Formats: sequence, structure tokens, C-alpha cells
Amino acid sequence: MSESIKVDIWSDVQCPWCYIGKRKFEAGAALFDGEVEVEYHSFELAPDTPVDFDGSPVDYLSQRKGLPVNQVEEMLERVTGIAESVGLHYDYDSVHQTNTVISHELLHYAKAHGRQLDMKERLLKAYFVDGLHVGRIDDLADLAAEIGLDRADVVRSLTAHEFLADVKADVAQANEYGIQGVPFFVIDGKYGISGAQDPDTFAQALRQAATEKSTAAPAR
Amino acid sequence: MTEQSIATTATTPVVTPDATSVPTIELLGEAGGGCCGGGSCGI
Repeated sequence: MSESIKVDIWSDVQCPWCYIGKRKFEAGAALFDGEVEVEYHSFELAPDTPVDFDGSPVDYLSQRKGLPVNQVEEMLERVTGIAESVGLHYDYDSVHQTNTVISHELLHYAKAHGRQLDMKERLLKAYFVDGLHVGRIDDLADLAAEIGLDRADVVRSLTAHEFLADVKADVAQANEYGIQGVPFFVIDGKYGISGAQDPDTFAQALRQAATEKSTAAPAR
Repeated sequence: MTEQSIATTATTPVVTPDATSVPTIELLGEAGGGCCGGGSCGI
């Protein structure tokens, strides 16, 4: 029996390409004839964003990037169309622009309780599809409870910033890898794939890693 | 490590040795659609 291939994924909750990349990676993993173990890592695109940004994502991106509003609107329209092509129905009119550090802390909490993948999916859907706030402890605790985590314990953990150091460690590791944007996939600790690439690219990388792993394994 | 871009077309993976970053990983292909905080990406 072949060993599983570990895939470490750096991602941010407010990154539209990360949700698209998640779907494309999942499609690629489905094409791969082997086991895949996924672990998500934190990446903060805009750590200086206030929890309650007073404005829309268009306002935010226009201000932050110094781009005309119509150009930002075109960008969001384009990425919304690409999301639609992978079955994701982004609703940018309802998005609450916020600081995502606390949602990353929740992802680490969920990992510690064996539920990281479910939490990641729920947070991305909450932000891009459902128009929910992902920067406040109470809102995050509701989402955590939805996937079966202990709401009161989540509130305790997030209030104490129990996993903040783990978030910062992920960010530091991303810097060590030279990661400047997300999503970023590290296959088996050896190969990097940057961005929301096509499923075939992920499948090919997984096969390459699996082949090398089996070749490197000592003969018995 | 190559800089991120907003390019959306996946390319055929080509193993490119990366000798500058520690720990070392090899980047497969060029960047697909992605987000970055520094401003070089659109989103």
C-alpha cells in the first residue's frame, strides 16, 4: 500500500482565489489514485485591516491598491465569474471586509480538534457566499458550532488567543518559503504550486511526488 | 522564488530548482491566479 502524500496549503479566508484554488485542488486530488493528507496554514493578506472596515470590498481594494473603482469592480466581476465556473456563487455585495487573524486562530483550534478541513470550507463559504462576518468571536463561534465544535470552548480559546502564536508561525514559515501570494501548495514538502491552477496540474504533481516516494522506498 | 502574478492560465509543470529559499522547495510551473497583500496582484 502506498503512503499518503502530504499537502500543506497556505491560504487566507478573504482570498477569492483561495476558495477557487481549493475547489481545483480537490478536483485534482480526485484524479490522483492515492491518499492525500491536507493541512491548511495561515496567510494574512491584509493584517492591518480593521475588524469592521467601514465600506465594501470595492472601497477597500480601491483604497488599498490605489485603483479606480471601476477597475476593482471589473476585477471582482472577473473572479466571481471564475468562481462560478467551479461551482462557487460569490456574493460580493454581501461580503464583510474584515481582519482575518481571528479566523485563522479558529482554523488552528479546529485543527487541534481534528476538524480543520470542515472549518476551512465553512469559513470560506461564510465569507464569500453567505455574507457572514468572519472577524468577530461570536460570529466565528456560531460557525464553529455549526460543524460540531464546542461553542463555549471556542469563545474561550479565541478570547485567550490560544492559537495566535501558531498563526504567526505559519506566516513566518510562508516567509521562509518565499511565499508572496496565496493559495500556495507545498506537495510532500518538496514541490511548490502557486495559485489556483487547473486540476490536472495538481494531479500531475501528486503523481510525481508519489512516484518519487515509491522509488525512494527501500526494497523489501 | 518567482513573484506572484494574476495570470490565470495553468502551464505545463516544469521543475525549476529553487536554491534561494530555505527550506528548499521546487516551484512547479508558473503562478496561477492568486492573491497577495503587497499590491503586485490585482486582488
